[in-house]
Parts: sequence; C-alpha cells; structure tokens
Amino acid sequence: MQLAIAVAVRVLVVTAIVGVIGYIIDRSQDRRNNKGP
Amino acid sequence: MNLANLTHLHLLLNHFPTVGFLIGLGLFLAAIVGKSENLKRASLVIFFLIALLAIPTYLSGKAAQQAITGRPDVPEALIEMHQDSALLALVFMELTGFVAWLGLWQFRRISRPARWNLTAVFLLSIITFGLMARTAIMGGEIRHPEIRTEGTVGSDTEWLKSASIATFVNTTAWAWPLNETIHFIGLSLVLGVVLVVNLRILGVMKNVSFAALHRLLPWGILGFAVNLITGILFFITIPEQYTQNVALHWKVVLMLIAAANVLYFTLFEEAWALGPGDDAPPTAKVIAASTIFLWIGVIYFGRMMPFIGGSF
Repeated sequence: MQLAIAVAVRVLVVTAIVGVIGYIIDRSQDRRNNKGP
Repeated sequence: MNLANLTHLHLLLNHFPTVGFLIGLGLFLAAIVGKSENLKRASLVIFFLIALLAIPTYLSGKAAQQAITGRPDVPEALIEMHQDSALLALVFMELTGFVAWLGLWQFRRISRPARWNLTAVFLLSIITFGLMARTAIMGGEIRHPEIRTEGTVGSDTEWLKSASIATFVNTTAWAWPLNETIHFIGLSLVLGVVLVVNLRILGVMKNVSFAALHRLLPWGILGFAVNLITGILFFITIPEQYTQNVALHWKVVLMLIAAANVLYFTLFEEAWALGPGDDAPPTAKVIAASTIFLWIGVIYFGRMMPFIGGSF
C-alpha cells in the first residue's frame, strides 16, 4: 500500500511537470500568433 | 544481432554524433552569419536527425563494452568513463534535438523561429559538441593506447554515473514502477497525437484544418522525450536485458523511422496547406499510414521484449 502511494504521488508530480512544459509551449504559440489556430 | 555485429554498428554510428553534428553546427553558424532562413532550417533538421542517431549510438555502446570487457589490454575504468561521458553528452544532444525541432515547428507556423529558440540551439549545440568530442576521444582511447594521455584512466570527474543510477533504481522500491508508469503515460501522449494528426491526413474528421492539429505536435514530441528518458533509465538499470534483445533492436529501428516522419509534418507544404474539408494528397496519406503502422510496431516490439527477446 505504501509503495502504491509512493509511486502514485511521484507519477502525479512528473505528469504535472510535463503538463506545465507542454502548456507553456502551447501558450507561447498563442502569444506569438495573437490568436488560436 | 549478436555482440560482434552490434560492436560494428557502434563503431559505424559513433562518428555521426561528432562529425555529423559538427557539420550541422557549421551550417547553423553559416546560416546566422549569412542570414539564410533555408540554411537555418537545414541545420535544425541535421541537429534533430543527429539527435535521433545518437540514441542507437548510445545503446550499441553497451554491447560493444560487453564484447571487449575482461580483456587484459582494455582498461575497464576507461570504458566506464566513456559510458558516463556519453550519457551526459546524450542528455545535451537530445535537448538540442528537442529545441531544434521546436524551432522547425515554429518555422512552419510563423515562418521563423522565436529569437530565444535560435539562441538556445546555439548554446546547446556548442555544449553538446564539446561533450560529444570528449566522449569520442575517450572512446578512441579504449582501443588505442597510443593516444592515451597521462591520468585519463581512473580520473573520476563525471556528473552522471551510470552505475550510481543503476544502483539507485535497483535498490529503490518505487523507482522501477514509477518509471514504467511514466513510460506508459509518455506512450499514450505520443500515440494519441500520432493517431489524431495522421487520421486527419487519411481523411477522418476532415472538417479540421491541419494547422489546428499541427498545434498538438509538441505534445507528441514531449511524450517522446518522456519515453526516451524513462527508456534510457530502464536500459541503464539492467543493460544485460536489452543489449542483445532482438525485440528492442526492432523497436529502435521502427521508432527512429517513425520519429523522422514527424519532419514531414513540420517541413513540407502539402500537409500544412490542408484546410477544413480538404483531401490530403496521396504522398501525405502514405506517410500518415506508415507513421501509424510504425508506432504500432514500436508498441508491439516494446511489449514483446520479454517474449521474443527473453528479457525478465
């Protein structure tokens, strides 16, 4: 149980980091285009 | 492939990350000085392709090590140093490839990359070339005692140590399951984007323009990056499971072709020009179908590693 929680917490942290990087790339595109695709 | 062939492969591939990268760097500098947009794009493509080729170069190095390990004339410490130096160089090489690809993606969208992008590529490529050259020299010294300098063997200066990483993953209960879970999330990200983008080219959801879907490509590349990091971690932790694993060999071959396919969508005009309701030209459809096929192959051979390749 402890292992399951330890893995889950770390998975969430890494996923959040990847998500933030993707989000930043995506937003920077918006700013440059000044509009959506 | 057996150890001897993998060693040949390593000896062949190891020239690309240094010589090929130098050519890319030269082109890149010429492009900046000559203010040539086409040359800039060409050098970014070279950086991206060399970053891809660096992956099998790194992986085959472990097999080359296994082939010569234990010989009295081969200093084990030098091989370890070469390997650790290669790992650090690989990290910077992949980072350069990623940023170079982002530049190509921006070129496609807004006809020029952002200013930060070219500066980042410039700095990263200089560092990468230095690290790669250092790795290459160490690699040469393994079988060429005549070029060894005093004190090379046994100096312990590496930042990233493969042995320490392997020990950490092997002795930490959560490390392998975490890596495995993240690898699957990365896979979902890659396959999700691959399916959406390529199915549109094939004629599904025709009302969506390609430019709208092009926006998703960085998420796919991000998934690829996640899987590269986690995949290399698996490899470093138990290399014996992977070096001669025929399923991994196929997986890497298919993955490299599939990854190079993404250039079609970032470089060429055909797909980009697809507006809402447009039908893609046959070339684009062939590339789209092959990309889906290749990624399914990557997943198949990844899953088959224990069954065909005998790992675990």
